[in-house]
Amino acid sequence: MSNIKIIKGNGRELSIDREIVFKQIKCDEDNPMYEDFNEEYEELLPEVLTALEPAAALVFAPYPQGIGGSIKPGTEVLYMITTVGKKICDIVSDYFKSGDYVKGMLTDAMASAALFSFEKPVFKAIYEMCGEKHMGIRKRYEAPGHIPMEIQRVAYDALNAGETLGLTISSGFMYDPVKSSCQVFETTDNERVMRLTHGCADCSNTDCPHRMESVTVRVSDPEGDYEFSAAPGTLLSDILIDNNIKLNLLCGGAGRCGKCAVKVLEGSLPVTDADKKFFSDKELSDGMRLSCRALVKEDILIELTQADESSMVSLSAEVSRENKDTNASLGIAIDIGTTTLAFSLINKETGDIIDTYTSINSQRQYGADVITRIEAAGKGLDKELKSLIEEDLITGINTLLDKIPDSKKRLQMLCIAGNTTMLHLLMGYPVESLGVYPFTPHSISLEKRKLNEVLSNCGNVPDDIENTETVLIPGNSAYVGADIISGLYSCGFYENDKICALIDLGTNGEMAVGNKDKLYVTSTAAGPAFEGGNIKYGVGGIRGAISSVEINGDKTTIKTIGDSEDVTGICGTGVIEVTAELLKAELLDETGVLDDDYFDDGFPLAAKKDGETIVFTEKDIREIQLAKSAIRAGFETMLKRYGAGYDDIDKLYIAGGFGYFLNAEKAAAIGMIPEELLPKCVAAGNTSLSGAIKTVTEGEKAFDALTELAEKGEEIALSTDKDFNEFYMEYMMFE
Amino acid sequence: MSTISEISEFLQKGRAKNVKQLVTQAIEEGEDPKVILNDGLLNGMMSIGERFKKNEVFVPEVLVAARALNAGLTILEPKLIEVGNEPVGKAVIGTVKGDLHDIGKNLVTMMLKGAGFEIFDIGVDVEADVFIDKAEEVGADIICMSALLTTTMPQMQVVIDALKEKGLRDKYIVMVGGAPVNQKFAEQIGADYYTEDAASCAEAARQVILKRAEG
Ligand code: B12
Ligand code: SF4
Repeated sequence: MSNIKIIKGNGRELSIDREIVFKQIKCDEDNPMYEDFNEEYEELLPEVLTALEPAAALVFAPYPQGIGGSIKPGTEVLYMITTVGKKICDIVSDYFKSGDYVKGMLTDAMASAALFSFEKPVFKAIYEMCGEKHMGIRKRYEAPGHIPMEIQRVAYDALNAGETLGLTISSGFMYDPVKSSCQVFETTDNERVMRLTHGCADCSNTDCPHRMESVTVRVSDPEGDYEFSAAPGTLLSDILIDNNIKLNLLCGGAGRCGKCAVKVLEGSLPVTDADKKFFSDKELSDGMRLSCRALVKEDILIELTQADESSMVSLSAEVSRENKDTNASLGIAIDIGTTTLAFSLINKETGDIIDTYTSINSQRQYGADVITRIEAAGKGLDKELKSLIEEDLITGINTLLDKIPDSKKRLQMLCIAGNTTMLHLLMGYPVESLGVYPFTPHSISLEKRKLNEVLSNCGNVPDDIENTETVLIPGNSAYVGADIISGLYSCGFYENDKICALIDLGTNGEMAVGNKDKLYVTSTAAGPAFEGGNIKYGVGGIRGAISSVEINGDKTTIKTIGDSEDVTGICGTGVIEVTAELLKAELLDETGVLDDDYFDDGFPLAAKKDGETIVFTEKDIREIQLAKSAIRAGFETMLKRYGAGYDDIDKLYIAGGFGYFLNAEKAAAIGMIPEELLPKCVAAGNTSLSGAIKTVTEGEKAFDALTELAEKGEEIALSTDKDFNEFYMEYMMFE
Repeated sequence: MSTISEISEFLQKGRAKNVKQLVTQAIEEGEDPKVILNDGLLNGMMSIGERFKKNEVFVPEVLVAARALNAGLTILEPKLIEVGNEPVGKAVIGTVKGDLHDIGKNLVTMMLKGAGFEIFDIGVDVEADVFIDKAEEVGADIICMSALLTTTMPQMQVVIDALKEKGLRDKYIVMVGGAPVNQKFAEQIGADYYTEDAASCAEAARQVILKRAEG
C-alpha cells in the first residue's frame, strides 16, 4: 500500500469562499441580517482556520467487480478522500448544543467551504500522479449520484483511510468526521484531458444550494487538444494556471501586459474594458481576449497565442569540450533568475563545463518581477512558490545527471546564485520585509546545507544526492543579491587593484564599481522593458524574436533569434537596436517623439506568420526612455559617490542574460551607457552563473572571497538621492 | 407596549441582548414565568416560523431569533422549574444509523425548542435501540428521525419495526424528515408524520400534542 499519496494541509492555507458560505445559509446581501452575519463570520474565521486539519489520500486502483455504476470493472480509477478533521466538527456541534445557531450554521458552512477549497492543492498532487503515469482524468464520480454508496467503503479500504486519515466508516458508508468527502476519478490514456472538478451538471439535486454548473475550456493544440472543467465565472487565467499551463503574467494578472492573451475560437468571452484598451477592433472581432480579465461563463475553445517560452534561449556558459572522464568528481552551478534558470554541470577538478541546461522559472506565472512575487508570497502563495522553484531545480539537476553514468555518486557540490528574493523564496524565508522600507532581508549570508535541506518540500530528491553539499552564495542587501556578488567574484573584484564596474541588466539593473579595497553597489528599477515587458510586441529571448535591426533609408533589415522566419516579437536587444536605429535615421527626435508618419500606428518592423504587422510604438519608446535613464542615472550616481570618473574605470562588464547579445554601441547610442566607456566594455554574459561555476571549482577558497565581497559592498540608496533624480531627468532625453 | 409583547418583538428581530434584559425585567415586574415563556418567547418564535413558511423571512432571521430565544430561556429556566412549568411535550431526536448529516436535525431541534418542547438530541449514526431506550427513559411523546441518504432512509423502518416488536409503537408519535424523505415514504414505513422543513415540523408537533391532550 506504499503507493498511497497522503497530503496534509494547514487550515491557514485554505481559502474559504465567503460567497459559498452565505449562499449555503441562504443569506444574501439584501437580507437584513447580512451585516450581522458578516461580522460573526469575520469573528469566527480565525477560530475556524486554526481548527481545520485538512488531509487527503490518493491512490490508483482498478475499479472492482460487483459494485455497479457506469465504470467498467478493471478500469484504472483514482480514489480520493479529503477531510478537514474532527476538531472543526466538534466546534460546530458545540455551538449548536449551546444554542448559538448562528455560529453553528456559519461554522458548519465554513467547514464545508474549506473542505471544498482543499481540493485545489490536492488536484496538484493528482496532476503529478497522472503525469508520472501518463494518464488523464476522464470523469469525476461521487456517490450516490453517479456511483453506488458502497464505493465509499471500497475507497476507504483502498486508501487505508482508518490509519492514513483517522476516519471511521458508518454502516451507511459515511465517514466520521462528517466533513469528509470521497471522489472516484475514471482515468483515460489521453493525458491531456483533466476533468477534475465537481460535476453538478449531471446531478439530479436541482435545488441544491451548492449547485454549480460547470464549464469546459478546451485548448486547441496541433498535438491534440486538451481540456479542463471549472466552475462558471472562474477567471480564465486561473483555470489555465490551475491546470499547469504556464502563463507568463508579467503584470501579475492586472490586465496591463497582455502576455496572457488568448484567441477564442468557439463560444464567447465578453469583451472587457481591459480588452478594449489592449486590442484593436479587428483583434477583438477575431476573438482576442486577455485571459487574466476573462470570466468563463460558457464552454469555450481557445488557442494560446503567447509564444511558447519553453524555447527561450537563455544564456548559460559555453560547453568547453566533451568530457569523457568517468571518474572525475562533479559539481553543479545554478543561477536562479527571476525569469530563467541556468544550470552547468562541471568537472570539479578541471573546471571544464560538461553540460548545461536552461529553463523558465515556473514562478513566473505569479508575476514577472520580484515585487509581484513578494506580493504573491504575501497572499499565502509562499509554499507554492517554494515548491515551484524546487521542482524546477530538481528537474534541471536530474536532467544533467541522468545523461551521465554514475554521475549521482560523483556529485560533490552544488552552488546556487540568484537575487535575494529568489533565494529567500527557495529557502522558505519570509519575504514581506524585502518589499517594504527599509527592505531588510531575513538572511543573506553564505549557507552550506545538504541538498535535501534546501529542497525540503519536493520529496523527490534522489537518494544518492540528498546529502550533497549545497552552497548558497551570500548577498549584500535586499536588492544587491547573491547574483551580483557572484558576478563580482567571477570578474575578479576581490583581487583587482584597478577600478572596474559591472552592470547587470535585468528587470532590476544592479551595478557595482570598485576594486579589492573599496566597493560600491546599487540597484535601480529599470522595469521589464529590456526583457520585452510593457512593449507592445515585446517577448523574451525566444526563437523568432527580433534581436537586431538596421534601418537604411527606406529599407529595414531585421535578424531574429535562431534566424527563424516565423517572427514572434521583439526581444530586449531588439528594442534597444530599433531605438538606436530610429535615432540614427532621424525618425525619432531627442525628446523621444517618433516621426509624424509613425507617431500614430508605430514603426513597422516585420510581419508575423498570420499577417499581423509587428510595430514599435511611441508608447514603447516612452518605456525605453524610462528604463534606460534609470540605468544610466544609477550608474552616474554611483560613480559620483565613489569619486571616480570615466577615465578611472579599467573595464565595464555588462552582464545579464541579454547583456551577452547586447550591441554595446547601440546601448551607448541611446544613452544607456556612456560613449566614453565603449572601448572598455566587456560583454560578460551571465556572471551570476560564472561566479557559481568558479565557486564549485575553487571550493573552500571561494567562500572567504565571496563573504568578503558581500560584506564590503557599500550600498547607495537611489530612491532618496537628489543626484539620482537629477540624472534621471537629464538622461531621459536622447542627448 | 407591554414587556411581554416587547419580548416577542425583539426576539423576532433576533436581539438577544434586549430579550435577555426584557426577560429579567419581566421577572422583576412579577410576571408569571409561564406567560413570559408562552406569550413572549414562544409567541415570538412561532411568529417567525409562520413568516418563514410564508417566505417573508429566511433562514438567517430564524437563526438569530432562535439564538435570542435561547438567551431568554437560560434566564427564565430556573423560574420555570420553580413554578413547576411543564413543557408542551418531550421529544427524542437523532439522525439514523449509518448517517452523519446533522444540520437538518439541529435545525429541527432548534424549532422544536422554540415551540416549547423539551428536546433530547441523541446525535448522529443512532442505533434503533438507542432511539427507543432514550424515549423510554425520559418519557418522550415524540420520536424524531432524520435521514439524508437514500441508503440510510430504510433505518427509519428498522426503528418503527423495533417499536412494534416491543409493543411500544402506539406509545410514541413518530416523525420523520430529511431531504430525500417524502410523504409517500413516511406512509410506506408507517411513520405518523412527515414535514418538509423544521418550522412545519415544530408546528405539527405542537398541534399533535395539543390534539392528544384534548382527545
Ligand atoms: C451539507 C451536505 C453535506 C455536508 C455535511 C454537513 C453536515 N454536518 O451535515 C458534507 C459536505 C460533509 C456532506 C458529505 C456527504 N454527503 Co451530503 N449533502 C449536504 C447537502 C448539500 C445539504 C444537507 C443539509 O445540511 N442541508 C440543510 C438542512 C437544513 O436541510 P436538511 O438536512 O434537508 O433538513 C431540513 C429538512 O429536510 C427537514 N428535516 C431534516 N430532518 C428532519 C427530521 C424530521 C423529523 C423532520 C420532520 C424534518 C426534518 O428539516 C430541515 C430544516 O428545514 C445535501 C444536498 C441537499 N440539498 O440536501 C447533500 C447530500 C445529502 N449529501 C449526499 C451525500 C451522498 C454525501 C456523501 C455521502 C457523498 C458525497 N458525494 O458527498 C458525503 C459523505 C461524506 C462522509 N462524511 O462520508 C447526498 C445524498 C444523496 C442520496 N440521495 O442519498 C446529498 C443529497 C447530495 C447529493 N445529491 O449527492 N454532505
Ligand atoms: S448540485 Fe449540490 S448535491 Fe448535486 S452535485 Fe452539486 S453540490 Fe452536490
